[in-house]
Amino acid sequence: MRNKLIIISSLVLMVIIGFFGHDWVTHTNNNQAKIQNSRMAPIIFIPGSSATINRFDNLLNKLNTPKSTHSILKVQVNTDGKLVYSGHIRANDEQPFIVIGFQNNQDGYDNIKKQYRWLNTAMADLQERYHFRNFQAIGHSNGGLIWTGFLENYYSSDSFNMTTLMTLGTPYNFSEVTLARRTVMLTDYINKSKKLPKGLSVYSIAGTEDYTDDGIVPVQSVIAGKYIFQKHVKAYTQITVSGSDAQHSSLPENTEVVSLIQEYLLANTDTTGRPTP
Amino acid sequence: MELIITHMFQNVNIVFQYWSDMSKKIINITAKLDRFVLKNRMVSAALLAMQQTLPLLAICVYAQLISQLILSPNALFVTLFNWRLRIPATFQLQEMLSLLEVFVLMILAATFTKQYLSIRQVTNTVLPTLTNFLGTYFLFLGKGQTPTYDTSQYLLVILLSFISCESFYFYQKFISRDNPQPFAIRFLIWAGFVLLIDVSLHFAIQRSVVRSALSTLLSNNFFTTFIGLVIVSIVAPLLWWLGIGLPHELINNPSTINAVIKNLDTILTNTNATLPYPTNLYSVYTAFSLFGGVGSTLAISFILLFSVRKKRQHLGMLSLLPSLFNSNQLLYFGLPIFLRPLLLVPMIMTSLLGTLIGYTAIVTHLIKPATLSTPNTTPSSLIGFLGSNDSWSLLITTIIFALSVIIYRPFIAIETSEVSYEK
Repeated sequence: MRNKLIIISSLVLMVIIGFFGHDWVTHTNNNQAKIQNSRMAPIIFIPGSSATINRFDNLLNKLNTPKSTHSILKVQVNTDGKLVYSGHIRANDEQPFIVIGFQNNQDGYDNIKKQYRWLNTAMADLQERYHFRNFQAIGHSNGGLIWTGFLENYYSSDSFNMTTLMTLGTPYNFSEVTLARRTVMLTDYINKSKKLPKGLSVYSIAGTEDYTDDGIVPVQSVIAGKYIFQKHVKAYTQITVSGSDAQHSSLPENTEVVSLIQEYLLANTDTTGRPTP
Repeated sequence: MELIITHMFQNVNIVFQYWSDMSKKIINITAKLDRFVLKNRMVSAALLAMQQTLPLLAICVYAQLISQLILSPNALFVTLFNWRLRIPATFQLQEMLSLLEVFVLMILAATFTKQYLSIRQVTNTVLPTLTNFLGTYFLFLGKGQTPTYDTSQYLLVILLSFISCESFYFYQKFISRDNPQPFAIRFLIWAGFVLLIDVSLHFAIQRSVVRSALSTLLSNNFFTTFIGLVIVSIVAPLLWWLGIGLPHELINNPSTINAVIKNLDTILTNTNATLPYPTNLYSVYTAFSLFGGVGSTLAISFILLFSVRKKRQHLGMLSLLPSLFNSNQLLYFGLPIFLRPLLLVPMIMTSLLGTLIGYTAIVTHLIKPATLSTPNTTPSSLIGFLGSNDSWSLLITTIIFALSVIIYRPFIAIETSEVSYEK
């Protein structure tokens, strides 16, 4: 009797696992097939601290001029992990713009850690909805720190293929003016830099208003990014823009920055106009 | 017509009789060999030590099972039911489980030392027991580290403990016989020397050169051919029986192997595409030769449930649940399986049978090969069905399992009737 009970319980357990396992395998592999065959490769933007999902509106307008070719989707991640979507991605748009912002958009390393965890939630949800694998990224100010934290702690090359990261005035060493003094965050990022994707191209843009900083972030702090990326990614390029509109908060609208985005990110299309991975 | 039928029956009867005689011979020879091996001092001490370590191992195996089914972030039920559990200190929990695994080995080494030295009629066993206990710790853990490599290196633990015991025996007999003090300086020097060897071996076994070389080897397309798969189905149970840690690809889901990745890529791009490698480690060996773990030992747990001996029945009950999820360590320690010819023969036979039937079923297009990804810790008996979405695979699985029971039964019957190493 006892043996019968054990065998029947084992069989029931196997049937349950078989039933739900079948559902999981079907769902997961359908999803994987869609991702595998997807032609979409969005450019995903993250604003800096205190900024909202509307931070890049001017930049996106400039990039969509003269013809609106890239649809725009905005996602706000609330503190409870809930995602609020606005805008839409047009059918057959192979290179839409997606802006991800955070309800808690405050500065500080502890907050940045929370923000790249929320970014992971948003990326998983975006992939589930739009089935893309290849993407490029832009981070303004702390947005670059959030991307770096995400790459080192959550990114998996099994799920995504991030080809290009462009950071605009990202303070890799916070407000330190000398490279000799490394913040805890920079040390953490350097220690985990082996986890960065090997095929990634990184462009770090610094602004100089008066030879030392862009009004907020010291140039040396932006340059500190080399300790994180150099030798760990496919290519790391440091670019400095100067002039009257090279002020920290003006960087996303800076004419030179717009040209750089057009040259390095938007131009990454093949002869048919499809984004190259 | 009647004559032809009678003739046919006679022929079938002759063939059946021949196979029956052959199998009886094989079983008798194996049983004799088993009795011979059991007379060996080292083997009998190791088997006794394994049985004495069983309760601790049971705690370890069940704790790991709970972790793999419920607690870890990619646990089976968490994945299947999309649970969003917030388990505090998950990393520390995994670390504790790894430590528990090493603790099992430390106890095994200590128990073996005590058993072996008793057989050698050594009375002062405290120092060598402690030395081998600590030596195993240094061998696997060292300076507060977590073992990142396989801890199922039973042969290594037993051999090192054996060498240490023998050296202690001769040291005591010929060099220090006039000194009755168990912690005399000369004995402590011996202990220090043994620990030094363990520490130096720690660095050697930490290098995963052999394992990564094996993983690279298994990625070779040779292991998608019939010969390659047959070799794997024979060598894997043999190495496991010897107590040598197997590469991940041979005990679990070999999803990182090139052929498996290429198949998955092909099927994801086009569902109706022809697979480049229909027969491979995943679709043949994992799906049909690994029911309950290496050597398809799920059949043993099943047979033990009906054993006349209470102790064996309890082992069957204890090992059934982990066996369903491909963990057969409890049988390895409980029966035990380690170095026993009586259990090696059916292990290789069932493993080979699963590969032969699975391979034939795939190449004759009777079933679709498993190509799709399945969650971690999925029972091997369901991989054929889940990985291919083909219900016919369930029938093949059932046939292989039934045949495994038939193969194991006479060997387990002998094992149960002659437990000669038990005191």
